[in-house]
Amino acid sequence: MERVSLFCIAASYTLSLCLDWLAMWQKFPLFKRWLHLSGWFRVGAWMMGSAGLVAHSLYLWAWQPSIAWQFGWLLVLSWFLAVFSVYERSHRGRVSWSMFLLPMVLGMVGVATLIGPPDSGGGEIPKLFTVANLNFWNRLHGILLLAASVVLSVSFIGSLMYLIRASQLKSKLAPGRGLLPFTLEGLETMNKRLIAVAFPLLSAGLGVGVGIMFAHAAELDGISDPRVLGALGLWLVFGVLLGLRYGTRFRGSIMAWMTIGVWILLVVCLVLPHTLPTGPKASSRNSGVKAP
Amino acid sequence: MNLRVFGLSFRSTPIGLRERLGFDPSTLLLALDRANSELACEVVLLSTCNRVEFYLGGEGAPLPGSRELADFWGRIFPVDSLAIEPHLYCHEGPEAIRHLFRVTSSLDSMVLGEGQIAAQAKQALEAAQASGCAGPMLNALFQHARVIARRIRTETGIAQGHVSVSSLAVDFVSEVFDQFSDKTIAVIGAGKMGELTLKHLVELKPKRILVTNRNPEKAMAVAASCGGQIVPFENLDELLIRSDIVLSTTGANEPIVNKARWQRVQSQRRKGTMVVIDIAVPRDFEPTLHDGETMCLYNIDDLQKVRETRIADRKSHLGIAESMIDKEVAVFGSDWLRRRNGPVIARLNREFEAKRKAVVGQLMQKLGDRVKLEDRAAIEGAFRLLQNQFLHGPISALAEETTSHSPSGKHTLLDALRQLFRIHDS
Repeated sequence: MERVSLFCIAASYTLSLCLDWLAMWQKFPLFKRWLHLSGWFRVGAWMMGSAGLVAHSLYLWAWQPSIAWQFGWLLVLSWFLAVFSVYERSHRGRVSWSMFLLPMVLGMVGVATLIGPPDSGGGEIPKLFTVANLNFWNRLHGILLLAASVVLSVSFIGSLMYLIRASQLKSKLAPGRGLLPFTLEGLETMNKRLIAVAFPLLSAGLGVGVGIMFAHAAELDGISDPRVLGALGLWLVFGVLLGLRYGTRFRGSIMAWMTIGVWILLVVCLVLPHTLPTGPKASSRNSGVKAP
Repeated sequence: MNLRVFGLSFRSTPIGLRERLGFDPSTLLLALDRANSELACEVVLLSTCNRVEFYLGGEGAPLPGSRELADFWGRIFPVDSLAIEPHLYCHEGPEAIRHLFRVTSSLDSMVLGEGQIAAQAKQALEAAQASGCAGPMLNALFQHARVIARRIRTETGIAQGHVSVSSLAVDFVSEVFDQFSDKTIAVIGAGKMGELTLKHLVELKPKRILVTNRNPEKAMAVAASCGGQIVPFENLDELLIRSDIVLSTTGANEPIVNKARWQRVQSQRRKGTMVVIDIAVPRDFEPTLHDGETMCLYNIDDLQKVRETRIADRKSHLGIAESMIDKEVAVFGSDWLRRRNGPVIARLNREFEAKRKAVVGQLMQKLGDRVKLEDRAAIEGAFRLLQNQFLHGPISALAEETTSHSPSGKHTLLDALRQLFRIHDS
């Protein structure tokens, strides 16, 4: 299992994505002679996507990277998104999700590869939930924020789809053209539901985080500490989500743009504090052992 | 292949004559009954609003010519056969196969790729089967045609998307909304053009339909036809506030919904996107109101444009469909010849087998104990070899004829074989 590398994962997802595009290109007149092959391309895409997910799962199982650092967080988050993509493809036959989700998954795996795994100090990668200084509240904080991130990531994709669909409708594109099988109403409803789910998760995660921060106030470098800045950013995310959840005026493309903004802010807030030097405890976070 | 098709279609015959010569279910049965006794061959009669065709086939007796068929037709309907004959087209052998494949695959239809013709061909075969007019040739041919039609529909883009304006309107609405059970449809005006579109929209089963018209009587008529509620025309703003989908077909000379009115309505609307199908000419809604989000406005030009694009898309798949048909014509021709030769070859083998056994039996009886057991086996083997070598030539020649398709379409070798070896159908 330890021979599974990030390259294997990325290669499988990339191949799956390429086959999806090939299947979609059959629609174009230039490729109409091979229209009957699109089914095979879809099967191939499903197989490669599933293979990627298996490789991804094996990698996480073998290395168990901690979600307390951006490397593990990105890999675990991308794993959830890959599961969603394979689920949508297998059970509902919705290829469009994969075409949007897989680039995001690939991006996350790519960034995780660039950043590399952190060193816990003893020459080993910090394991999922096994880092010594993580108590119950730390874990709960991590899980809640991860869950909120998964939901917001799907919502981010949904918002992108909404904007694309709205632009297609604006240009009066012929029905059935393009790669979106979703309706404008369906996408808006889905985004509203996802925000309704993400809001309590983020609120609870943030609440626990505030508690932890107060408990460890001495370890922080004041307001300039990236973790404090990250937390402030998360409060901003919380504020926007609050507006999206309960504000009746935010609809359609405004909601979609705000969701996109929220997701970007969330990613920055969750990734950045771990890439910058923080407080007195920061010195031990330089990369040591490299996962394949 | 002894196959012939005669027909009249929208390409060759004026609608007036087609109307007089078209078959309804009762005349179809009558024609098939008469064909059974008068034409003395397999018959399938395909009658749609765009074509009436007689498929004639079968081994043995010669098939009727165009004159005989026109006479037959003229005896069923009060139409002079001389008026029919000039419009008749005829295809024979492989061309007849190709024609049926093109017809059932909808390559010869008025609307390319329409889906009804395959079902109509199936019904025509079933009617012929019920009347005892369809024999092995036409059964096999029509079943093959059904398979190729299905393949062409699924493997090419010949049948992709709707092409009627009213269906396209529903397609546009379905791009915006997921469900319709909570939606309100508003019908403004009572134009004839809107009737079919409204019929399609009603099939979506909306929550309610509101109808308004300057003329209350016309509004009542429309409301009665679709189960809608009438809203006075003066309350148009209220109607727009309550509606999700609007079908507008008034005869107004200038837009009834302009920017100012829409802003007034929009400020009071609590609903999401409104889809407007404006098929009135001149248009009822100002085109600038379309933004793809709060209002999706489609007028008759938009629908026509998409229709033309779709038809052009379908046409671009024509070449592939034709080449698939070419291949299938050859496949069916070979299959049929093989199927037709099979029983003759089997019969030939059986008869030679019986004769060989009889001759060998007589010889063995005559030789009695003078032949050892192993010599008996050798003698039997030699006779079997002689039989195989003797039959190899004729059977190979028949197979070659099958694969090479004799240009005449007639199977002279098979007939020769039947006569030479006195093989008659039992």
